[in-house]
Amino acid sequence: MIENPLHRRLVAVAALILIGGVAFSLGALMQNRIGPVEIHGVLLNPPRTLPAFELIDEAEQVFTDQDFRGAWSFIYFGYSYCPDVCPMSLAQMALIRKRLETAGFDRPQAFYLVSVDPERDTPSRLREYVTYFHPSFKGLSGDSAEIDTFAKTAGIAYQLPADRSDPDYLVSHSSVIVLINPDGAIHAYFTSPLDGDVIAADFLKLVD
Amino acid sequence: MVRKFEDYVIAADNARSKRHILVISIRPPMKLALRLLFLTLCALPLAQCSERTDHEPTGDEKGIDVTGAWAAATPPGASTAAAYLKIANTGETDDRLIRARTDVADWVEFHNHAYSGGKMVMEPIPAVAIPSGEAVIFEPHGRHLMLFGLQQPLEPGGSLELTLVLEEEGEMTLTVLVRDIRP
Repeated sequence: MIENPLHRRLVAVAALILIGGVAFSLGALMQNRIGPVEIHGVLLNPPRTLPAFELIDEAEQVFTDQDFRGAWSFIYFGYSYCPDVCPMSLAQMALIRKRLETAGFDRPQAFYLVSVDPERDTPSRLREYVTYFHPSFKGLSGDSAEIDTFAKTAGIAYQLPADRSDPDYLVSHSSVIVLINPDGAIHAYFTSPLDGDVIAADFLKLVD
Repeated sequence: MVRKFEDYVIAADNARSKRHILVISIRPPMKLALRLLFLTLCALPLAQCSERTDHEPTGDEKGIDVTGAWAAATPPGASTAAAYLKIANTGETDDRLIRARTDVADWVEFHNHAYSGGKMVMEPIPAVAIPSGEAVIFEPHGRHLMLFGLQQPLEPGGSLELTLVLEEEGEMTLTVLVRDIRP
């Protein structure tokens, strides 16, 4: 027994803090094991199947919804004319690729820009644009109706001006990265602000 | 004289339980010293009033000061580009950035990004107010200078000349460095 009442109080308080600290740490640890994975975006549960659509890739090959099977795919809807958001977002996608490589994630993965501006974004235009960010990057373009089908299921909103006679028109669009799983279904969205480091970390947690 | 903890303790009126209350008894010379220190600390903010120390010094009395100007290197085939900078108005007069032009592109517009209806919308802004004592920042995903009709690709490590036109200050030409945005 501690004689000095002051000392007794101090020890009691110290003990409470210690117990509290341990309890908090255990709680935090357990949260990681039991709770749903938190990402900077939305996890779809269950993953959403894609509707049928047909696009053209940067090598002018036909690319359909089925072609997403077999790999984890990161997709950004944007356009090459856009000077700020799109290049920045594609640079973040390049960063994701780099971080996955560093982390030793070697399962099949692919990175796509789907153009919301197919009139200006021809396959060859897309090829020179997307490969700037990484030689493996792919670009998808094609018929507006087909892009619409994909965009709608992916929850992407975009708006082309009705009058496109001005060659310098701008397109507004959702700025998110869509994640499609190897079954070819939409697995998650990563929302703005798009940070490659954060998204790579979230993705590695998801596939763990 | 050895000070013991009990010297600082005021015993409770209830003689049966001594409450351990820590009271610091300050002796008079110490009180005077503290008062002087307190007054000195109060006087310091007044001394700061005559200089503006919360903005970057420009060495120019009526300054519009532009710092951190850079442009993103462009992918091949790009016909647009974006430039970023910070404009501080360290002068007495409010000003407005009304135009900009560059040697490497046909024309320049000021644009703002806003997320509206689930879409990133870019809207042109005709002019940007820069009140006296304030700074305006052009940065990625926010307000930016958009270059249209790019005449040549912007290469990392290169630069371009950008002329800003301000209503009061007039024209300012600066060299903007080009940066690679890829990891």
